[in-house]
Amino acid sequence: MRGEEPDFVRRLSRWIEGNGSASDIVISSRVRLARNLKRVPFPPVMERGDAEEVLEAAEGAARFLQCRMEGNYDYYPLRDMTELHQWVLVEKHLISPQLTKSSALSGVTVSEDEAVSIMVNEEDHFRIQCLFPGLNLREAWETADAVDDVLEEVVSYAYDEKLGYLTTCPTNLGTGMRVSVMTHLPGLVMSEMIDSVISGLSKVGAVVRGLYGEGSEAQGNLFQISNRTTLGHDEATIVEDMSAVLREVVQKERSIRETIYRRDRTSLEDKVYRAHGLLTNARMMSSEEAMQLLSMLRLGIDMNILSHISPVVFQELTIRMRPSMIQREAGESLKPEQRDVRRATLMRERITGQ
Amino acid sequence: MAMRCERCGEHEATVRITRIQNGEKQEMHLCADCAAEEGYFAWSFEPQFPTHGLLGGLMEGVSGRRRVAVPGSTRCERCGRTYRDFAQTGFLGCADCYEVFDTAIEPLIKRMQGGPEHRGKTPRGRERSSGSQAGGMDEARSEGGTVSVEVLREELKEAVSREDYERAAELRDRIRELEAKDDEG
Ligand SMILES: [Zn+2]
Ligand SMILES: [Zn+2]
Repeated sequence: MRGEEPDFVRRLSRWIEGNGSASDIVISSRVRLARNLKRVPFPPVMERGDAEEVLEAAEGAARFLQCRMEGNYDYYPLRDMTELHQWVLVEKHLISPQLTKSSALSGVTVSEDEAVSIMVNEEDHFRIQCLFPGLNLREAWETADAVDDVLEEVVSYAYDEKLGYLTTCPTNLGTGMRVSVMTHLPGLVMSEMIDSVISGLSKVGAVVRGLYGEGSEAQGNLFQISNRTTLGHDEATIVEDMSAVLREVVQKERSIRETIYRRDRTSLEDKVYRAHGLLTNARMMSSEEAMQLLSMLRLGIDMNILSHISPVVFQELTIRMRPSMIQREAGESLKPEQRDVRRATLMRERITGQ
Repeated sequence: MAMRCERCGEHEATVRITRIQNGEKQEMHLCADCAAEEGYFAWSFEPQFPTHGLLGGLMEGVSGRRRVAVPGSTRCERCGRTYRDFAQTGFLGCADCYEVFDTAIEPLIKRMQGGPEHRGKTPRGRERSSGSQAGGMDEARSEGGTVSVEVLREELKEAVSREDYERAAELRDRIRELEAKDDEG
């Protein structure tokens, strides 16, 4: 059983393939709902028997979903999976790295198009997550809501009239809803406006996270923007507020891109073509370098400098370049230098081959 | 001097993770391996930022440096979690903990959340009591009387495993009703 290749290993998630609204700037929209069962202690204090009860409930719920929703829903206990397959799920953004740490007692349900995944026994018993391409929080919320309704038919949630859905950490209390939008903001980074945008966002109830290389720019110029509070507003309001905030960010990034293009076209083109040159010629490439170059490539695509390359190459490669995906494709475990060689090959072949 | 990774303390930190919340900037320095393991490359998740530190700090901060008036040894009977556990990890142990530690949680909510009360979605079982949508589920159910919740649960499990969802939904409702009565009593 363990090691048998699950379906998700070979397919690409729907959010990677699709494009959605404002997809020149917004990579993906995610809505997650944290839910716990009323009768079972929360994961941090759970005993083995409790965990098994939750897994069993999750398995039953997956069958129920299969019947009520469109498409297939597969439930996988993590213990039946190889470590590599678990990491494929992590790198596809279907489960968190946290979930793999308790793989003996955790599980995941994944929809066929991978738009829906339910992590079982992570920080909360259930974490329903819906991931859509582009800026599309409303559809992500509606899907999460529908899945939640179905689950609720087979389980009793921990819920309080005043505090709403009871979560392991009070930061998720109430709606249990965290909205996260992944944005690609190279224009704001290059123009050094990003810091002021981020501090502005934090004043309107959004939390921004970026990944930085030491002393340099945000890696891949990717920023995750989320709602800070989960209690006190209803889900639709959170979705609308965050959508409005995001539309503004999109607007700012677009206008700065236009300005850069107008004022400094040659230098922008130079950056883009250099990135393209390295990506299509280098023989060894680290993850960090690849992220930065892919960001420039993507900017070039979105600004019609490189019109022959499909924008989804960016999403696809930022996933496929990850260590476990590289090793999965190689069919064996590799040393870091070997991965760098494979990564460079992957970049060359995927970008020139299309 | 090269900075060490804050997680493993071994490798050189090559990744700086920044989070900005409420205008406050927090930084973490990690090596590439630790960053990957903590999910900083899997960017669609909430990375495990040290929430415990954040919450702990908040707890002390709420009443202005003075400790919240809950003894660290206060304990939830149902799950065994103490107030100290909660203050250290930021995690509660079960639904009852919210009542046991409510004097500590209330100011925390005030400080961190958008309002004191839930305004969002309500589980369906509760909606029904106020007479709204039942969502197309079969309303017809026989009054079972003394059947225990446990028996019904077993039956539910079976119904689900033979994919008889109509029956499962019915059983679900009955279990809910019984549980609701339980809670009132
Ligand atoms: Zn480290
Ligand atoms: Zn408790």
